[in-house]
Amino acid sequence: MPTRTFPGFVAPSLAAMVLLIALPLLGVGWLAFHNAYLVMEVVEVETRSPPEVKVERVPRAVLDAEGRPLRVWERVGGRNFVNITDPERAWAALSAPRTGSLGERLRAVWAEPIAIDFWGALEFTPLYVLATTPAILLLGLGLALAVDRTAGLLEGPSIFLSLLPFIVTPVVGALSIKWLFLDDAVASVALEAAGLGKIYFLKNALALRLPILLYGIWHAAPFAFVVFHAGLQTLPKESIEAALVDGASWGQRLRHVVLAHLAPLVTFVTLIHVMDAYRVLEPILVFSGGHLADSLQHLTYYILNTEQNYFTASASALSTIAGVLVLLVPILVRAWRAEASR
Amino acid sequence: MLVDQGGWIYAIAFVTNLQHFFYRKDLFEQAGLGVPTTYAEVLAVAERLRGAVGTETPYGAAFKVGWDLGTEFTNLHLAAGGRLFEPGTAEPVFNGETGAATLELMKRLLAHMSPNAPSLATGDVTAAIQQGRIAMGTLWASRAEAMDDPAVSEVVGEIGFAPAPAVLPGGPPASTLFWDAFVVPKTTRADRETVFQELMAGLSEETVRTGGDLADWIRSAAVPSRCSEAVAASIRAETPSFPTQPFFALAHGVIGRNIGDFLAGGESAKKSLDDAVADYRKAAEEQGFL
Repeated sequence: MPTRTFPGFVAPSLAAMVLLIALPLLGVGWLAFHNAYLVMEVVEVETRSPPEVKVERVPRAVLDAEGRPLRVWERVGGRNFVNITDPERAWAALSAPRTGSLGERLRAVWAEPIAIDFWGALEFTPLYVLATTPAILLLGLGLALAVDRTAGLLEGPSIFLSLLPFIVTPVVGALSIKWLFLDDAVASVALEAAGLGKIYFLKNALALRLPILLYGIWHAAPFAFVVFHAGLQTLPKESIEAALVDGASWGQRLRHVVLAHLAPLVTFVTLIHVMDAYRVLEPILVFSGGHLADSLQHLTYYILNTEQNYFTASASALSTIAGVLVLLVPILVRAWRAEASR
Repeated sequence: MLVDQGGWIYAIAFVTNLQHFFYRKDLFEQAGLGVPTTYAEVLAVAERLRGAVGTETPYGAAFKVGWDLGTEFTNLHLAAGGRLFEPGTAEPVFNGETGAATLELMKRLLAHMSPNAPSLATGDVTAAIQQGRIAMGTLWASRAEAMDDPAVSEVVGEIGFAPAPAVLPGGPPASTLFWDAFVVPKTTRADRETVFQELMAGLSEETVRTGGDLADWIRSAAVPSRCSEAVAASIRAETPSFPTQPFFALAHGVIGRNIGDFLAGGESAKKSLDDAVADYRKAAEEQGFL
């Protein structure tokens, strides 16, 4: 390719990235260190609205000379970050004097800080990442190997079926899993019929987290599958044949030939999934609403949606990005070392 | 109805919605039970109905942590004579004795609800009544009509409606009135006169007279359906309107997020409400309300 062709090809996507990713990110960065609010005054007014007429004291925005609401802008340094992480209350909760047995005290040291929004979200989010990542790698690999062995006509439909959970919109997917586990729903009734008794899946933290993790695995495993399946197509037949001639067992072929070939893809899937999983939102929204299992992305959503505070929401979003980076560094370092040692 | 504040008309209210009491007429009749008018009576009736629909938990309400749970607290707290704020200020006062008593009442109600209740929202409770899984519940009036739809309901004609139970004997129903209104924004690019005429045509006398099953209209010409009676009765019983202060949204949000910890059994009522107040203060200070 002539040197001049390359910039021509990448320029459009580069422009899109700057416009749609870099600039908004800069904007979020700016918002995270600022705050603005309307100046309010309390006035006594007569309000007529259903069901009654009432005279009440209500806050109302102070207007400037041109009749526009007076808004105060301020630079707040790290205050938005302090407000969302609430280190003071977290420390107080952690270091509060405790009584009771050792077990009770340990439980309190854990439970009291995570009653604070941010720390509660920071407990479940990494757990979600750590629990789903190995599961989707294993399940994706298993599916890829299985589909690879189904020859001919069956291969197309089995690829399509395996991909389906990934195609289904996350909210719809999460709802359909939740509906399996409600009172008297299919999964609950089936388990009761199997003699396990009435199980209420949304009842406590452990029971609630199980279907959330299940959803996460169900949703993301097809992504791992499709990448590994593509990787298997590039596996040279000669290496497998050579291994067979050398008398390698199935396990040895899998480990030393197939997995060795797929290793860069394992890193790739892990990277992408960690980034995705750390930003988990839909199953939290659907299953728990943040109760007993919260995520950082859900917390940002709450601040945007309920508080409508774009400044702390930006701080919350940036801290989520920071978390992703922290998780990615070890994977990247490992991949870089592996690459360097080749 | 024209909505105005200080003489400045800003909207036309046209429909209401509020939560009221849904109950299985057949089961109540069989057990010889009257319709409860207070939550103390609801608890007593729940005891009597235990097992009546093949469940130990005959009561239902949208207790999903978040918006739904915050709304339930607001309804019960106001009906118990509680205040959310110092009048005329954004100063929070919902963590007092009335607040704690309200939470204790919610926990007692929870004992008669599905153990999944803190994850069940309006749609789930609607389905539970329609499928005959619960014998009574507090639910949105807008869901009443679907009780008589044979395509989705197994209890057609069996559900009775009444104003929400009170917390204090003789007090107002533990519910809050919502209303929807038309507003034509200043920035609209359409012809404002045409938009207004369209809206008025939509709310014509004929529409509200024949469409009693579509909504609870705010118009004297409206002919209420079987399902609207309880709404009218709730308004006569002085159901207060849902709080409209701009900072209420912040309080509503933090209450909905925090009190689940108490209901789940992890912490005291006081601690949950104090946490909610601490979160509220932070959010209200950021936005200049405090």
